[in-house]
Amino acid sequence: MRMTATGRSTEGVTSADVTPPVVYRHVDKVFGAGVHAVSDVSLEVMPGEFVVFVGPSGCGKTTLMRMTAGLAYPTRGEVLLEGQPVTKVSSEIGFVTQDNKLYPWMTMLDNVAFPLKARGVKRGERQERAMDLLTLMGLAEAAQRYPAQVSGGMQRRGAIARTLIYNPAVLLMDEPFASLDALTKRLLQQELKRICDERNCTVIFVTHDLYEAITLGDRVVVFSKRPARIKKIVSVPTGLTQHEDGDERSSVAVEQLQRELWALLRSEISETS
Amino acid sequence: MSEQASSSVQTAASPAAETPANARPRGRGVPKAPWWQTALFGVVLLVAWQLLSGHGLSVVFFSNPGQIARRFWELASTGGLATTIWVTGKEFLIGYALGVACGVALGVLFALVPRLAGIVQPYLFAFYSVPNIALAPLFVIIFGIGLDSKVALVTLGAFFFVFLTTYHGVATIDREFVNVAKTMGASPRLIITDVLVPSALPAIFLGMRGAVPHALTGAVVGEFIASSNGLGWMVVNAANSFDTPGLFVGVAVLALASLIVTFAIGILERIVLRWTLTQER
Repeated sequence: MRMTATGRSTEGVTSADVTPPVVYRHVDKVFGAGVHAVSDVSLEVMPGEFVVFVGPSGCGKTTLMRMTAGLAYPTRGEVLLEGQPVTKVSSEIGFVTQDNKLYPWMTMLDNVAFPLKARGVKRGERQERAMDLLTLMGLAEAAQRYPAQVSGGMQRRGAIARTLIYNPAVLLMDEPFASLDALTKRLLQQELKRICDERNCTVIFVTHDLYEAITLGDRVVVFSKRPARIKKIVSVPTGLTQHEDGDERSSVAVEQLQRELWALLRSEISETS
Repeated sequence: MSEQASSSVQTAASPAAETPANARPRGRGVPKAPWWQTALFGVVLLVAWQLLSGHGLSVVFFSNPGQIARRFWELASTGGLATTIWVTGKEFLIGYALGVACGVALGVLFALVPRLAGIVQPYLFAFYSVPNIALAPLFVIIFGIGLDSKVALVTLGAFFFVFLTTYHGVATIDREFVNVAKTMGASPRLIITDVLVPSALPAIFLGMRGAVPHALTGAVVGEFIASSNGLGWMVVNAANSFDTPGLFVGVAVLALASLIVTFAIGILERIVLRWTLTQER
């Protein structure tokens, strides 16, 4: 498994040593209309781990993610956040989706500072901290602009900054880079990886892009088609995608891993109508 | 949402409430003609009116621009036109402010408490369906023949439009905006002030602009029924004494007032809603 930035290996860390930030225990979800979205999912996410969910479209990954955030609740089983069952919308998580949901009536700076405002941080301090984070993500000049006035990539960075600023226990990212162009996507992937390694974030990341899954993830959880069931969990060997001068180098191992993941998924997709 | 007509008034480029980044540029509806063309059209109409007056177009019933201008000057310099305007103006301003405040407050409240809305809504709509004119005498009985009854009518006229658009604006907010705020730890109060109200502002302003003619009607109708001054009184009085030019002056001033107020709100809207600028790409 990958080494986290602090040099701690995530392998061998069991839930007996430390509280896993996210635990799914036999989570089952059936929607009112009889739609069975999630089927008996059990999983533990370790601190500092970057877990990627892949699976066919509509399989239930997003539902699982929303249950982690407290925006939906399991029909059976439980979701534990920092050891506690999720009973309401949690502010210990950061949620980034395909639509940025940045508030169009606030400047980028105010948007990023908003979580701090919610926590009662005074104006001067929160604006300063927001500015620091914006600078870190290369958004300094966009600070006084409104979201509609900046590019999609910058909006996405702003949305990510907004979730990072309050140091949530878990980052939930639902296909955050899906709607971006390939170049911006590559850049943001690298940036995200750098920041997550530095801050030792615990991340649950949903994507359809297998290469992205391998690049970013410590473990890749492959789901079946709906109802989502864990088909297989694949560990990504450390250093699989090299980072020299900030660029990944493709290798045979990456190709093999991608093929393995694709093989797992393809059988699920071909069965879907 | 803001493509719905705000009466017949065209405000100066009032911005549509577009979603950011992904907004497809929409046409503004009616293309803007060069100002001189619009002005020329008006001049042609006025000239035609003046020329036809007395030659096929009855002077008594239709008057003409010349007469009207003279009458306007008379009223303005000696006839207390300013006072007349101020009487109606006072009724309008007080009633409009009240109507907007109530409309926004109730619109937000009902959108947040749908059950309450469900209970009260049929009565509200029944009330709304009664024409102003029918309610005017009732208001005069309740509030007397002075300022209060007119203010009440103006409030009523302004209230409904603002209430409806505010309610719609808050009720149709993208739920994810609220969810995201919750995940960031925002309290319900902060969500209302920083998320719900700002997102509903375009709708509120739409309501405010559309409410102006309705509100003004309230004042005029009130004055028709029971008043001794004001533009509505002036119109009715002029009609009764066959002072057609005077009648036109009253109507023209009313129209102008309505336009000016709506325009002013449009300016305010553009300042407050700076963020609805479309992308600069």
